[in-house]
This record gives sequence, C-alpha cells and structure tokens, in this order.
Amino acid sequence: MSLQLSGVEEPGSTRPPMEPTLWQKSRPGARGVFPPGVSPETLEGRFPERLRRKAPLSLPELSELDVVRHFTRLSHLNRGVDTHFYPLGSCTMKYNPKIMDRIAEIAGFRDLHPRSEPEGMQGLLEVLHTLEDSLGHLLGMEAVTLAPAAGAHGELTGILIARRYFESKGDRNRTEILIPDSAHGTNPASAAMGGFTVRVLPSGSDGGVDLAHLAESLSEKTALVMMTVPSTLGVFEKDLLKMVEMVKASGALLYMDGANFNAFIGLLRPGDLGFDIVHINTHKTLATPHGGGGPGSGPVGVKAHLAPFLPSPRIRKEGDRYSLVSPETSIGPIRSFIGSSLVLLRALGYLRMLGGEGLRRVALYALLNANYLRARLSGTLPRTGSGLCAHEFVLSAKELGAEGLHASDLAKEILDAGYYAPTISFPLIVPEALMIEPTETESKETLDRFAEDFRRIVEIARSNPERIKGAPRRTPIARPDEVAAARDPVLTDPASLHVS
Amino acid sequence: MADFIPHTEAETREMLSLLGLDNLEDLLSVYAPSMAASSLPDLSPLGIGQDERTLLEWFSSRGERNLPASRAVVFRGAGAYDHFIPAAVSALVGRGEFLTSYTPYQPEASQGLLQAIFEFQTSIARLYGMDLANASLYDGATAMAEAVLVAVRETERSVVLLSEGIDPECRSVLETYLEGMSVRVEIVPLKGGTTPYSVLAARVGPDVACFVGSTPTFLGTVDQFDGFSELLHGSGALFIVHANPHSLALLKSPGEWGADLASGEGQPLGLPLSSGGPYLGLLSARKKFVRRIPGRLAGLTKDREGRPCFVLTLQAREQHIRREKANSNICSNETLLALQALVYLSLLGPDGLRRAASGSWSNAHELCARLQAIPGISLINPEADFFHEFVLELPVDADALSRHLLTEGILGGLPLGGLLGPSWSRRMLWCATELRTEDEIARTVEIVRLSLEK
Repeated sequence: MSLQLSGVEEPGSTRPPMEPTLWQKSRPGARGVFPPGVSPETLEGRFPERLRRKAPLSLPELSELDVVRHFTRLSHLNRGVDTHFYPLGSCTMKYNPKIMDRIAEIAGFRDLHPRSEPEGMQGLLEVLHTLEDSLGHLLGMEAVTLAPAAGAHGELTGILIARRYFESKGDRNRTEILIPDSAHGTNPASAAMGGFTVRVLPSGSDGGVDLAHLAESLSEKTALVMMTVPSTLGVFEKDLLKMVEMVKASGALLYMDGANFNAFIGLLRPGDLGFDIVHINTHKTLATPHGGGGPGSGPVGVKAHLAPFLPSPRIRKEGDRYSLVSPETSIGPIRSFIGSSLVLLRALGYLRMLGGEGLRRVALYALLNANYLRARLSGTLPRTGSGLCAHEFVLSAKELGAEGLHASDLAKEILDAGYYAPTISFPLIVPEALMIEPTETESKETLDRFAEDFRRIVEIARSNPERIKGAPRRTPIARPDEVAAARDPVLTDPASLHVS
Repeated sequence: MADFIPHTEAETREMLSLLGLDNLEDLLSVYAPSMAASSLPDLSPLGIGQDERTLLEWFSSRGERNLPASRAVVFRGAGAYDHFIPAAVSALVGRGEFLTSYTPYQPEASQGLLQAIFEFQTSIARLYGMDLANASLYDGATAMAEAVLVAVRETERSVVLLSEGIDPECRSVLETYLEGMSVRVEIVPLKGGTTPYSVLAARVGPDVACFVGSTPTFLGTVDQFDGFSELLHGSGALFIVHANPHSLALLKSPGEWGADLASGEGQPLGLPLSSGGPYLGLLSARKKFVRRIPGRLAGLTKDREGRPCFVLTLQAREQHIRREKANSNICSNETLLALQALVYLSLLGPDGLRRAASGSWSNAHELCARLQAIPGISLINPEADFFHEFVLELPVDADALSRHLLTEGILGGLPLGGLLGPSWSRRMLWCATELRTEDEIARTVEIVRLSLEK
C-alpha cells in the first residue's frame, strides 16, 4: 500500500487536506532543536566500538518550524471537546478545565524525581493523601489506591486484591468472576488476566441483570461479581439491593465498575450500596483530559477488610509527616512509582474547585442533560429501557437496516453535522446501538441544536438513505477500508526505511 | 466555586418542564429504591468550592514543600531521567484538539491523532530496530510485563528468566501481573555487570518461555547478548530486551541483538520527571508477533475514494471485541505521552538525539572518574562498560550522604540499601544526563569530597 499524502487541497473538494508524514517531509541534514550535549565524534576512542549501534537511526530530519507546522496541522485534523460536542457514550467527554493544566505545570510537581527521599516530596504525598481521603468520602470506602494508570488497570488491581483476600482466608475454590453481558470488555479481559474464569450473566428484557440467572450462577466458586452502575444502558438496576444481598450471602465480593460515576457522584456511595471494591476513571468523572487515548487514571476504593491488600507503595501519615510503605500483605506494585501524579493533581484540583455541593450538581445536571436530550430525541429511534435514564441512553438503529443502513452510517452523517459521534456498536446486547452521553458541561443550546440535527439525519435516513451512505463529506477522509488495514497491516511508515 | 455547568436558571426550568419535573431533585427517582432523597451522603468533608486563585495557591504551596528535590540538581536516574525538553514540545502537545480528544474510534474525525500514533509507532520501531511498535502501554514496567505475557502465550511455557539487571521495581510489577497465573520467575544473575552466556545456556530448556535482558542494566552497565538470540530460539524460547530509548541513539538496539520483543520506559523522550507519572510504556516486536501484542495499533489504509489514511487496526486482539480472550485488558493507554515523545524525537532528529546521548555518556563518565578519585570511593563492576549510570561503593552510609547532598540542593545518586538490601547500604547509583554542566559536576564532587573528609 502506498502512502502519498499530498497535503494539498483537492480542487473542488469539501475536505481539508491531509498532512504528509514526518518521514515524507524529512530533508537530510535539516536540523531542529539543538540540545545540550556533545558531538558524538568527541567520544571517539573512548566509546567502545563493540557496543555501538550499527543500524541506521531512522528518525525524521526537520527544522523546528517544520515540526511545529506538522503537529499544528495534525491537530486541525482532530476533534476534541475543546472543538466539538462529543456525545461519546460511556466516555464522559466533559469540559477539562484549563486551570488544571496550570496545576500540572507547577515545577514542584512537574520536576520532582519519583525516587526522591520522602522528605523531598512531602507536598506531593500530602496532595495524594488528600485525594485518597476525598475519594474515600465520595465512594464510601475506607481505603483508596491512586496507583492504577487507567480504569482497566484499576479493574486488574481490584481483581488481584480479591484473589489475595480469598487466599488469606485459605479459600482457594473461588475461581470464577460473574460479569453481565452488557459490561465493558475490559471487565472480562481483566478477570482473565487475574487468572479467573469468566461466567457471563445474561441481561433480562429490561437490560438489567436477570435475578434468576444470578441466583443460578452464584456458588461457592464465585469470587467476585462485577457490576457497572448505572449499567452501560444508562439504567440503574432496580433490583440492585436485592442483588447485593444475594452476592453477599454467597460469600463472594462485589465489584463496581465506576466508569459511570458521573451519574451519581455526590448522590450515592458505592460503599453504602454494599460494594466491596470500586474503581473510577479520573479522565471521565473528574475531568482530567483523555489525551486521545490516555493518560487516564483509575483509583480503586475498598472496604476496610480489603485495605491490607492494596498495591504498594502506600502513603502513610503520621502526625504531619508522610512516608511510603510497602506492607507485606500488599499485592505488590502494579506499576512504576507512586501513580500518574500529574493526572491525579488535576483530579484533586477538580474536586477542590467544585467542592461537595458542586460535585452533587455535576451528577444532577448530568442526569438532566441526558434526560432532556433523550426526551428531545424521542420518536427518532427506539430507546432501550423506559422512563428516566441516568447520565446516558442507548438508541437502536436496527430498524434502519431495512434501508441498508447501520448505526455507523448515522455516525458519519453526525460527523458532517459538526459533532463527534456517539459510541456505536456498544453495548453489545443492543443491535445497532448508538450510545449518547451529553455530560453536564454542555449547554441547552448545544443539546437543542444536536437534537434538531439528529432528528433531521434520521429523517434523511428514512427518506434518502443513499445520502447517508455517502457521508461523511466534510471530513479529511471518508470510510477507511478497515478490512484492508487488517489484512496486510502497515504499522510503520515505509518512507522511514529509506532514511540513513 | 465554578462547576462548569452552563445552564441559566431559566434554561434549567425549561428543561425540567419538558421532562414534566418540578426540580432537579426529582431526577433522583432514577435511583429508587436504593436511595431516598433524605439519604444523600454528607459531602462536608469535600469542603466548599474554590476559585482559581485559591486553588492555584493551595497547590503551589504544596509544590513548594517538594522544592528541596524538585529544584535540586539531579544526579539521580534509576528509571526516571532529567533530560532536556524543547519548549515546542508542551506548546504542541497541549493543543486542545489532541488533549481533549478520546481514543480515535471515528477515524474521519481523528486523522491527526491516528497519524501521530502511526508516526510514533514508526519512530519507536526504528529506534528499537524492530518491525513494529504499538501505540503505548502504561509505563516501562507494565510494558515489560506485557511483553512477558506475549511470550508466555506464544510458547505456552511457564518459566520466565529475568536478568538480575532488570530494575527491581519492574520485576515486582511483573510478579504482580503474574499473580493469577502459574508462571514462575527465575533470576539470571549478573556477573561483573553483564549476563554470562554460560549461565543462561545452562538454564534454557523446554520449560522456559523467555529471557528478559536489560540494556543498560538497572546498575547502569551495558549488558551484551552475543549468541543469546540463537541460544533461546534453539530451545523454543523468546528473547526480550528491555532498553532505555535514550541510550539507543548510541548503543546496539534490541533488534541488532536479535530480540523478538522489546520494551522500555519512554519517559526519557521528552517527558518531565512528573513526580512519577504519567509515563510511557514502549513495546515493539518482530512482525510475526503482530497478532499477539497488546494495545492499540494505528495502521495505514485507503479511504473509499482512494486517499491514504489511518485507522485503529487489528482490533480483534483487543478487549472490546475479544473480551476474556483478548491479548490484554488495556484500553486507555498513554497516547498523549506517545505524542509528546514523537514531538520530542522530531525536534531533535537523529543528530540531536545522538548529541544528547553523547552528552549523557560523556558527563556520566566525567562524574564517575572524578568521584572515583576521592579516597575511599570505588566503582563496582569496574570491568563493565556503563552508559549514563554507575554504582559507587562509599566509605559511609549512602542514605546519610544523600540527605546531606539534598541540603546542598543536589539530588545525588540513589542509595541502594532500601531497594537491594542492607549489603547495598553503602552503595549509590549515580546518573548524569546531557543537562548536567561542568560546574554542577565540579561542585557536587567537591561537596562529596568534603563530606567524606569530616
């Protein structure tokens, strides 16, 4: 496959031009930034030849301005919350306050070496300890670890904690984790990484967990039941308390995937509901920017009986002094160093800026916006579930199958209307799903405009499906061939092989 | 104070009325019967909201308490390195179009990031001398653990041989990752700072999934793997090299050593020390492992009208498709940090990276020579080559010297007793990067000399 990205506008096209790759723009001998250091020639005679790299160092050669323009142009080919409404369900794409960027730039944190002695990092440890406390209050949990680098990493952490817990009780028979079929794919993947067998809980007709199936699946082999609250359908399980009771009675632990924490922050506490373990995603509820795929952060809260197993190192506070300890009972470190500190600073900044009442308003307005948009979209496509939704809702485009259209086709027309697209094809239990999560930071005006556009798009889909099949028309490219990409994967730039 | 909720009161009322509700609290019926409105949790411990100035002051004052270390002259590495970062890096990476985007699920609206990931994969694959690289993992330690998991799955064997030169924290993270699996980690000891071929040759066998070597080692020495690839492949095992990317500007790459998979910590590529994170996990591999490796992959393809473009590809490996049969549970990774490393590498180019790495090598060797000249100080593993870190044996307790240096504004070498045990309590792992100046080196050596004379 050839890679000829012209970087020039196509005559008469509605599409912005693509940008050539760094290697296509590379000019042998061009210099960018001149870093401190010495010329490699000055090491001649001292640097042992047998250690020397003989392979070419095929990095691009560009001026600083070339590089600045390259990445600025690439940014123009990318949509973020800063540029577009981003109703990507289950991702909570809310506004990321700019002041938090400033906090992450404070030199005392940005330039702190993670292997400094504790006396040199008292400020950091205080901040992180404060965040643990705040999250403990919000989650109703007695202990919190900030170590996990993302939500899925938090899941793995929680699962390993459960493993250690049962080992500590001498119970080695609990080898199964029960997970609803509507769960995020990370849940079963994390369970498998933790060495457990996954048993899938099928959803009932209302999208909630079927109690009879749960009763049937629970046994002395069940270690953990993982629940997403509200479920990925944006529905709060009406039988949650009953389910908690059943799980407790079986001797298993209860895990909450807190990816949807934005729906109930300040309103409900997982600990109060009976959960033993919960992870949240700071890049969702706590407004830390997702950066196009990370950095995330996935703090995990646990009840007191699980605290001894939290990953090391733990922050210990004695009087006004903070230190790092590694308890014998810990599952051990789950990543390098203490945590994704600069992400965690932003998360604490968000909590402190909003305060308790502000956080409660976040959840209430997340509910309001989702329900308002749901109501504005009623009559467009059928929704899974009924009544009020939580912070998001799922529509099904299945009936447009008669026109030869899929949810993904609608998504492309939504891009042309000037938005990012809803999550499509998830949850897996809804055919042709469009999962919509507006978040609390979007205005009524934005929701009204989106609702009108969405309604118009569904009408076009019914009256003129061919038009939808032609979307998108305004984006730099349209409908990449994903099958070809996977058949013979080209994962590096062929032009880089010609640079010496 | 601010809650970033844009609604006016009138709009809120209007929206509620469309729903047939009187006030916001009516929405709480969603949570019935788990919650009665009276049972809302007490949020007073969270305090009241703060304005920007108060917030910034609070964090700045906590930052000040880190100052002894964060403003110190850094002679410490051990997995986190103080390198030069051009100003253009943060200017570009901080652009909202990148910063506030999600994983590029919609390729038409995400070509910028997809191309950057593709370019990142290219630069890491070339730097490590491998065929391909993924879009990133959490950090170096988890990248190494994921590389090991690839080898375990590929070979269906249950012993992992780990060089003693691997950072002991990376080893612990690997052990945590293996907690739920029937896989045993065995350590292959270093001799004089390198892995003896004969020791590995005596251990390989039908139970061994892989050997993981480190270059440079945790102790700074440059390990050498002549014949390792043939030896391991001869017994059906895989060869993994965990390498510092900064050093690869000068040192033999994992590809040149014949590695099947390579991992590394990407922090030296333009990421600040960051109080330990977020960092950047690097994973690269030979082409034949393309369907085995974890994480996002951006690939080249064509759009419907024949334009070259980029997509996330080979998603059938991933959790959202394969669920419990996925290669890994990873979803969010460190894409923004990958972009940061890519911008850094583009700004420096091959000459700049070689210049920085040469500066590190040169400064470290200068520092080592001068410290070694102080009576009572000796270099351990003197026969081995080192890159930009080295271990010195001191006549005094290393912790005490480290504390003394900090009072002088110097973050000295890492005292090793805490990590490696009491027999290492007089040993320090020193590092000098290209950023250290002649004056900083001279002053530090003088302070060490004076403190030992006392």
